[in-house]
Amino acid sequence: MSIYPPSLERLINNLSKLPGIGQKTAARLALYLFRASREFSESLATSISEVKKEIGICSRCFNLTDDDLCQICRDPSRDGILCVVEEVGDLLALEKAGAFRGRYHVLQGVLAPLDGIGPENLRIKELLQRLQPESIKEVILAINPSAEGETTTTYIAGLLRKQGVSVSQIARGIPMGGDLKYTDAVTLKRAMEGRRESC
Amino acid sequence: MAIRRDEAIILRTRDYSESDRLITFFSKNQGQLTGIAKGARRSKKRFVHTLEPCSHVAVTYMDRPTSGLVRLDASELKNAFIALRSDIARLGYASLSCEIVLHMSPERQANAALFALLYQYLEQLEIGAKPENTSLLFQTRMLHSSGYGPNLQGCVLCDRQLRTGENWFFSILQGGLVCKDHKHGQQPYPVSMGTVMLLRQAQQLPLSKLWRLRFQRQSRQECRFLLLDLVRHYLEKDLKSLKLLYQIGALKSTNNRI
Repeated sequence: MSIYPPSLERLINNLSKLPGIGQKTAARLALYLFRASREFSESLATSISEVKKEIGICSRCFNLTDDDLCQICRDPSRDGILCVVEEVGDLLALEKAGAFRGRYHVLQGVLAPLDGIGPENLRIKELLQRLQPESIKEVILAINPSAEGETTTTYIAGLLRKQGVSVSQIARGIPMGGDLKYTDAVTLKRAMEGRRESC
Repeated sequence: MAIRRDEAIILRTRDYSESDRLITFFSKNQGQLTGIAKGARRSKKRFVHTLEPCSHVAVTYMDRPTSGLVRLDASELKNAFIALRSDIARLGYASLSCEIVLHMSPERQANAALFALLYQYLEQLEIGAKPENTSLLFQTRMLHSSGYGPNLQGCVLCDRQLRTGENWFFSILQGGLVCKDHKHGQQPYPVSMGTVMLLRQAQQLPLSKLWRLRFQRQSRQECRFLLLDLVRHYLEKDLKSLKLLYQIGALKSTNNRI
């Protein structure tokens, strides 16, 4: 028999389904919500409900949006360079860094043979369909440098080159604050290959 | 509890909880094991870049007799087979073999011959050997060394010897050759004598000479789905890596029977 009243038990069970939240943390959060003001609890519930109701996927770039097109796709000042990323989280990281001022395309994954994910399961066809209508001159592939990510980069680069578009990929190498002697062999090799003239 | 250090090939990685990964690897001295790599998704030091599928690594792990899972403590990259990443077909075929080993090799049963076969197979793909030919050789040898090798001596139903008959067929259900009199109701694959001899050689040759064998066009067509269907028949399930190979056109699914 549960030690909590049924409604609190339901809340704990639901919270414990969130990533990184176990039963104990869920119980602590549920008790906090019980003690918090009614306004806060209602505002939280409304926010969750609104997100589920209003947030969707941009029909052009597959970013998160509350409209048909996301804010970035609607912005006319974003020029004709396209940055291809794996997930929405990667897009948000690039935007937060202010490192890129063009448009994006979210693939929604990478090629993963062992998970049965091939080109048809990603947004590759949609990427190719964007090139002409949006007069895209250059595509930057900003896909994570895992084995599957690198294969995806090579595969998409080949398709884009056939379309006559200039293709580049983000640099691989030593992170800021890193240390050469603790860097793995593959990263060091990539860093040496991608060296550039000192300024 | 014992701390072990071994060579291994990573077969599969899966995210587990917020920051960990479950790693299934095929080790040289302990066979297939699954271990938990604590903090592998967040740590930039301990496991960085070493737990990718198809990589050859030296792993250090804690083996607990009471638990099916081992605890991975360290992993050192020995060969990432980087060239596989520049060709989707080669990565697809490498993944297919890792998936076959994953499902067909029992846990905690050392099989140094299978480890050597898988390692050499990845090495062959890395140096640019033809992926489909190499994969067919791997599948033939893998089935044979795991005890699932097809019977290629003669008809499995009437003992007719190979040299005394013509028009041979391969039966998935019987796991071997059948003669023309016994092909009915077996979903038979027609196989030429040349293909049978090639498969027999691939079962017997020393590993160092295996990769010299070549499946010519007819043998390739005859074996393309025969071996895969045999694997799927034993596993009683489909192989996920085939999806990618179909999608990129490396395999055509028209003759796909299962």
